[in-house]
Amino acid sequence: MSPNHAPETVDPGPGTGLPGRWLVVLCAVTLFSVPIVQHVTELREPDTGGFRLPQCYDVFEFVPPVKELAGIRGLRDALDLLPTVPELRDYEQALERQSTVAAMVRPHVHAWLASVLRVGTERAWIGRDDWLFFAPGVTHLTAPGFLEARALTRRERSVAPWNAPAHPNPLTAIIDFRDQLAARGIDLVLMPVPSKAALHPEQWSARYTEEDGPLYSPSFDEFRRRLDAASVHLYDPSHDLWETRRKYGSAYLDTDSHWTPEGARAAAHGLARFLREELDPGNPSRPFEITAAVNVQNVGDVAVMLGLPSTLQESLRESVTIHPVSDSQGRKWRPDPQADVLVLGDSYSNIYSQGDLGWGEGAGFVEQLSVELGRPIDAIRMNAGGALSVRRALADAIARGNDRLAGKKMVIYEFAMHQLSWGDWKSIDLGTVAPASKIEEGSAVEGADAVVVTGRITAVSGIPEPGSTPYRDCIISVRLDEIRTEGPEFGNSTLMAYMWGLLDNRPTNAANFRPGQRVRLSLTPWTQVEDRLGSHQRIELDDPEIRRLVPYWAEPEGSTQTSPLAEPLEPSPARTTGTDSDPFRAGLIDRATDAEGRGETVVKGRDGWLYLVGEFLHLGMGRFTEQGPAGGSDPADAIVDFHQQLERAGIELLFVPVPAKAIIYPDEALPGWEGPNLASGARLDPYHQAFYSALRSQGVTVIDLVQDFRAARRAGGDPLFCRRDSHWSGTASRIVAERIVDVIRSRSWVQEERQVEMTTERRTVEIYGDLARNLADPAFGTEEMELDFVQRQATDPPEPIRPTESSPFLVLADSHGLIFHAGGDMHATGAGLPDHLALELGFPVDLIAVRGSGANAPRMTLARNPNRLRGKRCVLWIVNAPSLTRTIGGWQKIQVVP
Amino acid sequence: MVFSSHLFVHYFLPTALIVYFALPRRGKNLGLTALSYAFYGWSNPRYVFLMMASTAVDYACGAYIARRAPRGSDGRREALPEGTPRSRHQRAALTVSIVCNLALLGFFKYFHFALDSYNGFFHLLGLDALQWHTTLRIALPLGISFYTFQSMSYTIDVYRGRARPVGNFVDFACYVSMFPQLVAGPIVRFHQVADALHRRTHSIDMAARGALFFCLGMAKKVLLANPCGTIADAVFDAGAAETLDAWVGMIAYAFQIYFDFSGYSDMAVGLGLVFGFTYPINFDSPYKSKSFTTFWPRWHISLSSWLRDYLYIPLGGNRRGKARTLANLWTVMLLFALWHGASWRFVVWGVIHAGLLMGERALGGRSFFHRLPEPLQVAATFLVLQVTWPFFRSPDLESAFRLLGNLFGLGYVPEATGLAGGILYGPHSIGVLAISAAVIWGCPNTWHWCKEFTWPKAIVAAVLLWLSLIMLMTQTHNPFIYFVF
Repeated sequence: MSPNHAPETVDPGPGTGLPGRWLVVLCAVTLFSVPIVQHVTELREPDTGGFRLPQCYDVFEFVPPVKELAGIRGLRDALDLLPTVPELRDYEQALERQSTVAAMVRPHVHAWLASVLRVGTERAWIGRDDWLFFAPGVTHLTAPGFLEARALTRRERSVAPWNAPAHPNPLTAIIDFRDQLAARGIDLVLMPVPSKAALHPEQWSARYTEEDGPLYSPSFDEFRRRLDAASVHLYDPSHDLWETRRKYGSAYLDTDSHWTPEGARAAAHGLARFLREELDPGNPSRPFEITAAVNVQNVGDVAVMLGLPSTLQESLRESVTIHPVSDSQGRKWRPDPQADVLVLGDSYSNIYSQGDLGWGEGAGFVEQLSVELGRPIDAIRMNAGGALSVRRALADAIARGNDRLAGKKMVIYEFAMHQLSWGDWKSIDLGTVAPASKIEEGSAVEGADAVVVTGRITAVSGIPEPGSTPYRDCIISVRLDEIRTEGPEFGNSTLMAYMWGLLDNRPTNAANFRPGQRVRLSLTPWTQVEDRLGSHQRIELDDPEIRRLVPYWAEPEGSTQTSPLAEPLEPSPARTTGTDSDPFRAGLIDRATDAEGRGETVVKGRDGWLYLVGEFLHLGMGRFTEQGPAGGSDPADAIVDFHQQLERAGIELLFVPVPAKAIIYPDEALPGWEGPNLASGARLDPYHQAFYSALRSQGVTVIDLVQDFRAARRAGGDPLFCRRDSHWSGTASRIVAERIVDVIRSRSWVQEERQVEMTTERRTVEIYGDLARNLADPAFGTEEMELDFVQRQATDPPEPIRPTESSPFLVLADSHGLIFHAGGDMHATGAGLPDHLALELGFPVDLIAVRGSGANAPRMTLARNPNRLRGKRCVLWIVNAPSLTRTIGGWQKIQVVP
Repeated sequence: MVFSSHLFVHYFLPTALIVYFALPRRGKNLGLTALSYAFYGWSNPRYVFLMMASTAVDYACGAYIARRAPRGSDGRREALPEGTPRSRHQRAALTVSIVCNLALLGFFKYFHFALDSYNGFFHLLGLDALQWHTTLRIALPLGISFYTFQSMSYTIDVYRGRARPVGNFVDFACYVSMFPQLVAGPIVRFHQVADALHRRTHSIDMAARGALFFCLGMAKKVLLANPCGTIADAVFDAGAAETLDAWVGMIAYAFQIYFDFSGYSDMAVGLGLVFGFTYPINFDSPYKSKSFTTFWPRWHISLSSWLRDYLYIPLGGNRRGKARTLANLWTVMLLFALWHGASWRFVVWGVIHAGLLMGERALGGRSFFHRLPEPLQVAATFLVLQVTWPFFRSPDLESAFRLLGNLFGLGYVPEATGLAGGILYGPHSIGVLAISAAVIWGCPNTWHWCKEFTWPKAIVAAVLLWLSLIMLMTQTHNPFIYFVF
């Protein structure tokens, strides 16, 4: 043999001539253009955090500092300094996610693939007649049975050695869970919800007809048999859903992975029947009823996962009618921790219940089950949480001292059936309630609202690839060590915080956090936000030690990273949205200038919407904190000063800026607006976000309503603002009241206050808005509005709730505190914010509200009546956001507390 | 890091080009080595040390074997004279090199296979007490099968006197780690790049031809292999398949693996040209083969020729009688199969192929098969090949046999299995399979197509590159199949 036996090598060949040169140049331009565009984009983006290198240079963070390199004493030391595989994958994925060119190209390619070739994405599949399917729901049915040895082995071996081992066997975890519950005398009822393909196979493959189904995984019969043998109750809703399908034509949404409202109600009905037949759920103890039928429009989760351009995505919007549930007093259904039935559920329980999913609220599966059983129900629900997260959330709550199983007779465990094939079925030890001393750890800011801390990240959970799960938002977990506070003393050197990792399918800056980085975070006790955020998809750290600590909700405050190549960890929101808002601001200025040129103070929007010129001018300013507000004084100084005065007096301040109408309804404000909107997710008020962050860093509790309003708008239903009035709507008053009371509900003074029985009554009112009045254009007349009037129940006839000076809760407000409350030009009495606050709190509030700017006048009134603060525990300050720059005379520091 | 990734195409490759061409000639090998280690370390930085160790051992062994070789006029040592006896120390050095490489490969690639087989054997005997269970989980280092073979061939060639020993460690590390072909071949023999390592030229013509190869390879991978993979996955990831689905899935996998691997090889050849190296051909239109005897010399040529030169011929090849030839054939095919993966299903796959080769050899040219028209021979060879893929691609032996049965309408097929049809028979799937078939049987081999450079070819390459990069932005992670071998 000679080397000549080796295969022929490529022949460099003759000259390639001009075509060759052309190809080389074109290839070079193609390869280099993407990173160059990325550099230019990132360097041009406005950033309040100063200069920062483009993201690709983060790779140098993997290079250990010289000091650490000098400390290497052996191979072990050297290996320890190397980046881990997950860190490298995270970096690579972040680079791909934030590619400017890819972001521009991707939606159009997806649109072409979807419309021409009928191809979806890896996890969002296009079926027949534009039905959309979540891939794991299909593959669960076609894959080997989830209890087959080959399937279990395959899943065990599919996990990389550096990741936590997989737990593919659901039986082990479920039986263990049942045993732990049984030891506490609690029954477990399983309810696996079939996937859409199981109920509508003919919409996925032409091989099936409308008579075929429901389909099951090959292992489901064995699963059922083995649960039966282990005496675990199982309710399979497939046949009830099949009947729903027969009756209504569909049990699942066309563009979403979840069931229809009718499907949810059928499952609730079927489960209630099952419970009555198999177990004794007890007699009805409290009636709940369906109050109304509400039409909701939304784009389904699978349609969003397709990543289409927003215009095409909008064409997939579908409409459903939901039936919200209330108690006999008209109060919105809420999970009741005292109930003896606990539902653990995933997004099938959240849909029609969690407003952020976009399908309305108060009308989900658990609410319907409450109606069916005629009793209150406690619930822990988490999107994507079916197999593991929701059981872990229960265990975490117990470990932190909140025994959600206390007094329970029954746990209903709802999860998507495809989790049997793909879920993580780790057994979870429900443990015991933690002793008080343990719970105290890391809870030093409890009751202090928000504290800014600096610390080093030692662990951070990743985010799912945007678009890879049906949920637009995801919360990540961060472990922080070496903590230093800038306010009250923090009692622990380690803390665990939750943060947004993904919002509207866009990674937040926190998603790029890396272990080793130093960050500043503004912390709020998790308990204050848990009601609102606890049901979102959440990625936990698999660290038993950290999971016992009381968690916080955190918002980034900026970077103190030490690496010379570091970038600010949480730049201002302008970093992600600033460029988006430029055309928006320009458009507003143009419109406002036009109106002013005609001598008008009102701008006409689309579809009869009216706006104040001043609001447009305020928003058009952009970074108002640098340009300085009108009048020269900084509102932050006045707000922080007021907060400090109240703090000295032992009174809590909640600062609530009212979002500008055009921020929530940009499409109505600027006809033809095609920029960020509810579908694309970017916020249009980055400078307000930055301003609120700055306030929080100085200890002020700011309740930013923009996300709440956007979620409510996404969910459909009544508008959040009056079309022809400058104020928010009755619906918004109710949402704001709920949001505010969510924050303070756990305060002891709220619990201690004497409760007043109240009821609500919905009426339609006709209003002639202030903007329409100013415009004096016959084309803009009155508008009708649904209002919920809050009334004292014990009186006949029912009376509105009057504010009272003896209340521990004082509301300082501009006219947003008067609208629908003060009557006359405020259109109604008994349906405004103070009324809904009273309803939510269970007792009347005190009120100082003015027509005009809420910046100075309410505080001046208070300063003149210092006794009004006597007995107060909390002051709520409602101010219209545009008044931050449009207060005549500027924001003044006013001595309120003697 | 994979070639068809945003990171490689838009960050690593531009950086590598800038760094490499900015370096002076004497620093280019060092620069290329550093870049290659960064490329390799991206999959798992710890395994860089493993590759370094393997490189160091083979370099030392090669240097020791050739330590008394005379120096040539260029100051480098000449090759040892062929056919002359070697000393005990030289044999020992060669043994150390081979044992180290095989031990490395054996531990990282075959540990779990050996353990499972051992436990399975005692389970069959009812002696579970003798089983050994461990929590040790070993990840297969990327491309270890490629670089150990490549590195090992160096010491063997130096020992045999068929290659000059390398002048310095950096050059050798550069040879072993060179990123264009490091993780998925083609397996480059040392002598094929020895001169280029010492001194090489770079030209716009080489770069242009390299770009042409790269564009075609990228298109094969992104535009054909990945979509075919989606179709194949629908069948292979299912618990069972209806007969027609099973055949469609098998054909889709045949297309996927060919475009995936040959696409990678094309990109590797292209990048090699840009950096001044000429790599060997790895695929020669294998699906146009009229028999299995002609199929194997055209599939993964660099590996099959490596096994031929370093295993089959040293074992005696076909020169020691029929029985010995058959035994050699069996041995080579089994090792060839096991090289691809540590599993009994690869063994079965190798056995089937060895059987097919022996069957053809036994029948010779007189069989009915050889009297068929040429297109039918090609079609028959391709279809018979499909019967073997279940063992190559299925996740386990049970699934492979089940799928094999499904190909012939045997075995239970659950009702829900038909849902796979929703993927298999969409317009996109049918279009992709049709285009793949047209490229395979209707287009010339890349190797030949790239020999002549014309304007139309340049434009086609540019369009394919753009299409590939655009599609890449919509595809998630897509590692090459051969990375795991």
